[in-house]
Amino acid sequence: MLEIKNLHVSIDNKKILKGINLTIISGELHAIMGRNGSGKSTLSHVIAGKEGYEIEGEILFNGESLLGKSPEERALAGIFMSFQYPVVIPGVNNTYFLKAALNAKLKANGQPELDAMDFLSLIKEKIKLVGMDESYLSRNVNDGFSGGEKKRNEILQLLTLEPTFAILDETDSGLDIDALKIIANGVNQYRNSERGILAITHYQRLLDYMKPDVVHAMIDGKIVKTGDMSLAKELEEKGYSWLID
Amino acid sequence: MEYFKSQLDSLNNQWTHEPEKMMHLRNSALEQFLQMGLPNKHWEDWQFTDFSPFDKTKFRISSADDVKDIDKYHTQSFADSFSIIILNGHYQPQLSHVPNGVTIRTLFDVFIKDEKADLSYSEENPFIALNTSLMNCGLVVDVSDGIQIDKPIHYQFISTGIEDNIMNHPRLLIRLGENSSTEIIEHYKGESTTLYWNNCVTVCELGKNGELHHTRIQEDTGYHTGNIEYHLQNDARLNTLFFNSGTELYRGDVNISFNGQNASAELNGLSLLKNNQHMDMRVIVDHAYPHCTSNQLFKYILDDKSTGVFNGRVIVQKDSQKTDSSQSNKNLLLSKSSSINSNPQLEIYADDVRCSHGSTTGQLDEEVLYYLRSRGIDAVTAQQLMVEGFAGELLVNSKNEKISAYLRNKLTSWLKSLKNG
Repeated sequence: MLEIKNLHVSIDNKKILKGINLTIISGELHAIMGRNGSGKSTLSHVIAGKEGYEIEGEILFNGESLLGKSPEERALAGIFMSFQYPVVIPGVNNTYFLKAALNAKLKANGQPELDAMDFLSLIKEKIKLVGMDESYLSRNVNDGFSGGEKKRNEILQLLTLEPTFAILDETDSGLDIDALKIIANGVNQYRNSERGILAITHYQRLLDYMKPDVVHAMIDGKIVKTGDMSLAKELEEKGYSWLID
Repeated sequence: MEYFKSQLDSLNNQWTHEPEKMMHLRNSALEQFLQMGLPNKHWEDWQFTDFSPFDKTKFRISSADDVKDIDKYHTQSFADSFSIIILNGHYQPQLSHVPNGVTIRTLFDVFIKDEKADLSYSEENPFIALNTSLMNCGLVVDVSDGIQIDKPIHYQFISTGIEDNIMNHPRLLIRLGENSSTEIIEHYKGESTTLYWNNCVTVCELGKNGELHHTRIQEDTGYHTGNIEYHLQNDARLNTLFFNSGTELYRGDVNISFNGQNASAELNGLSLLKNNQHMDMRVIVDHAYPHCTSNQLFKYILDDKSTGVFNGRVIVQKDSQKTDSSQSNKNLLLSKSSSINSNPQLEIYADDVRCSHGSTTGQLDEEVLYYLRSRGIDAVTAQQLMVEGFAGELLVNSKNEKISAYLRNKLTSWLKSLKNG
């Protein structure tokens, strides 16, 4: 479903990604582990369509090139990214925002849009899955939310928009163990044989709850080793230095 | 400037029934105006606006002939409201109705009975002097003591179907009795393509423990100079919203004076500018009595090559202890060529007060835009959401949901009219 071929990315002539090759097929959960500054988040943003990068190589999604497409076109094609740092949107109500996003998708798929009532009953079901109080629906997007609440709100969006491919950019960072379980639980609810997931993380602990099919180690803009869950355990124990050279 | 003199002559010829002392007031106000002249860049509080257009076009004062085919005018009021209708500067009593406890009279009626009415003009503001000289549509709205009016009074000043460059100098006096409360929507509308000018003076007097919700919607399309004064007695409560959109050239002067203790004023403003529009607003709050509160929040949204000015001054007089005042001006620039000059000021002469002021100007946050787009919301819609989010807090304040909804619709259609989406 997602195929990345020899991807090189720079910002202001500084090389960040140096030849990434990655193939994720439907039903798979891949994890990329790496230290700060290894290029993990850049990879997420380049897939999601953030502007400002110089890009060489290919990113194919279901056989079609994503490069040159706007973030909204990629989202409507089925890609979703859970942000490492979800932004606050002043004055924009969470429900209103989620409804606008879902209706944009329904419209693009030629399906009827949901009215306020139908949407509200849908979202009230979804919010239970991430253990958030309904009062968060009437607040402005992420405004005054704690770090953990912001991440739950990302997973709420994931469960509401039901994309076919999800990137989780350090969705576990800054979470306590209870919140981590809730997030992992939400992701596992989302997961099925039609959908792909790319989880980016520093730590093994999120993966303990999500059981990745493939684990990649990333150093200095390259994937240097690929394995299964045992690689994650090894990285947790030994760090990354042994992979250099 | 000579044309103003000939316009006063024309007014005097039209209204020969006016008493001598009225003519005297008009003549001396004109003299004051001519002496001052139009503001120029050497006038500190006026320096960022070019006032020469008011002299370049020779405006003609509107006459009875300018009101034709009343039926074709769109005079729809807000649902569940009382209304006062003025067409091209002419009060239409047959289209107006107000509740019991409220009287509307023309200034002429009040003047001729020798009643006291605030028709003063200062040496500070030439537009008020000009209005005093040429006022052609004066109304006095009196709300008796102890009256609570639950539906708003919708004052509509409509400029339409105009073929000449006409000008109007309406004067509106709103006098709210003790222990009374009411909501007044002062609404300027117009869609004529011929340039016109409304030079307005509104004076609101709030009696003891009176409560006024005042929404001033300025969406006429010509030039607009608006002078608004509020006088608050003990325990009076004022809540205002100034909504400005559509005019090419706007200057607004708002003056709040506290004439008693424990009074409060909430002042909000939203100005929408595009093309080459220019809006200049000055707000002066004079805390002359102790234990009063004032809060200001004025926002501008600017696109294209539009320019804005916000000039705010809060004065806390020597004996005005326990004053609680805040003043905030926040501006959003949607284009690189738009600009705003913001100058909030505080003058404090008392020592036991709580005052704050601040100003911020910025563009739409790119990170937020990207976040919204990454959720499948297209760039244009995402920008609209963000701008509506920026302005939203001002449009929920109104006591009346219908008016909030009206203004939110105005904002949305304004956003849709922008060139970049």
